[in-house]
Amino acid sequence: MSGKVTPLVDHHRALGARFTEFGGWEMPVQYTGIIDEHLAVRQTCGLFDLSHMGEVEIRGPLALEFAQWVLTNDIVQVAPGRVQYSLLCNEAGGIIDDLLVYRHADYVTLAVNASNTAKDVEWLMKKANEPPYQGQVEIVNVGQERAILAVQGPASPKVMEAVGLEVLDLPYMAFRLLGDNGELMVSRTGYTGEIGYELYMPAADAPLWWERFMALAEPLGLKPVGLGARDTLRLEMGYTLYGNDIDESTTPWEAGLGWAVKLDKEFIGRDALAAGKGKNSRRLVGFMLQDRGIARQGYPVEANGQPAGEVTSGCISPSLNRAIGLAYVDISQAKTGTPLEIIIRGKAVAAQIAPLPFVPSRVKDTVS
Amino acid sequence: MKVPVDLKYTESHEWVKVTDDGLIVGITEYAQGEMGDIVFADLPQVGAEYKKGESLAVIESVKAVSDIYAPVGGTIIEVNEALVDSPELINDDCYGEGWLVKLSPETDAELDGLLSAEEYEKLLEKEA
Repeated sequence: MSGKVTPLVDHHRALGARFTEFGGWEMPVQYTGIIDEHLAVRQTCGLFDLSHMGEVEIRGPLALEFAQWVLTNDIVQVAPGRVQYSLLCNEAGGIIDDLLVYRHADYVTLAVNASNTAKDVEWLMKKANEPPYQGQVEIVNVGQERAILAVQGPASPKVMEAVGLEVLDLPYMAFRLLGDNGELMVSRTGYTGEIGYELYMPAADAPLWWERFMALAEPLGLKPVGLGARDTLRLEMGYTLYGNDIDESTTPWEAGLGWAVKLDKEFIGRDALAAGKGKNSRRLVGFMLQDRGIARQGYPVEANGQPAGEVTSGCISPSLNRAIGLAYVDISQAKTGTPLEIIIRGKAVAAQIAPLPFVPSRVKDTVS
Repeated sequence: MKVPVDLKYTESHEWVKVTDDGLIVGITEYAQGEMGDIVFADLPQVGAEYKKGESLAVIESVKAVSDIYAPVGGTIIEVNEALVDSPELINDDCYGEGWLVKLSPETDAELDGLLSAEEYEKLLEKEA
């Protein structure tokens, strides 16, 4: 294996996982099969190793002010113990990364995309060296010493209970520090559209937690789930994936992420984003194929036989057994219900813009 | 890994069964396993002609798109219509119900270039 491996690589191998390279990491793409694992998360519960993701802390006397300056969403509006989705944008309003911000009393933790960790850290360090933050802000890349697990699916509260984690009272987008020294951070967050939890822990603790979950929660239907199903699960929710649907050439407005941009505060990229608001020429939309085939990343999109855009993500939805996807289309063709054609190997296949999510979200369901 | 001895094989993991009225072509157990859950088969039209090595079909799993290559030159005389509604047959029974196409070879000469089961097994050992 050429990429970095997580502390759980031997566990994955023992389970017969198939591996793939992702963001410089060798990660399990599937154990038993993507469809099987996908449906396990929708119906019962899945266990994911997400240790490839980055974890960066912003600390120091001006930590919160700095977070407010580099991020598009308003972290000051969020109470300690809460999580917020946010974007790191450049001066032009291009998306450097999308991430989760964990608001502590006097610092924040950022959970960032694996493929962007190095780039994000470099950007944050550069910005932290500029006045007035110089010497007042510390950027700490803690990811190397940490591991991340996710438990996702309707049975995940029962699974958390079974392993003795007291988190059932956590509402969606909230977190708690557990363990003797607060070294285990558990949040009610996820990337699947189901009730679920993410656990950030010292790398050395990951094998024990993985084994504990498998031993105590396999009888409840918990199954290990790879990155293959993680991708189909997120696509059914219409969640964007950095590198596919968003990157530095896309703005939050066209990606449908404008809700995470708060123009009433100052931040890097604000002026460009304020100027571009309502003026984007394309929009990320969800679509379903009306005919057989699968739309894949890079396939051309047409409307009435004219070029109208490009597919950024596509798969067969295991829940719907229909081909779904995300595409950038010309803003004039971006309304729900608009008929499109996806060009698959030279042939036009009928598609229609569908409302997102493709499958109802259950992230805010009450834990009973 | 099942490699039936009565079949011929290609280096790109197709199998070929020689019958009286043409060659049946499918993908091997190794190939379907590498692809994962197969969710779509884009098969050719009956009557279409292919040269050896040309892509005659496309099989898609959840994650990947894979070309299937003509093991020898010839004309498509039948396609497995069952795969239109049940592409998972390729995973479930790759040497039986999950066959892809039947083709009439242009000449018998190209058949000699195919691998025997023994040779294909050696190839798999190398890839593993």
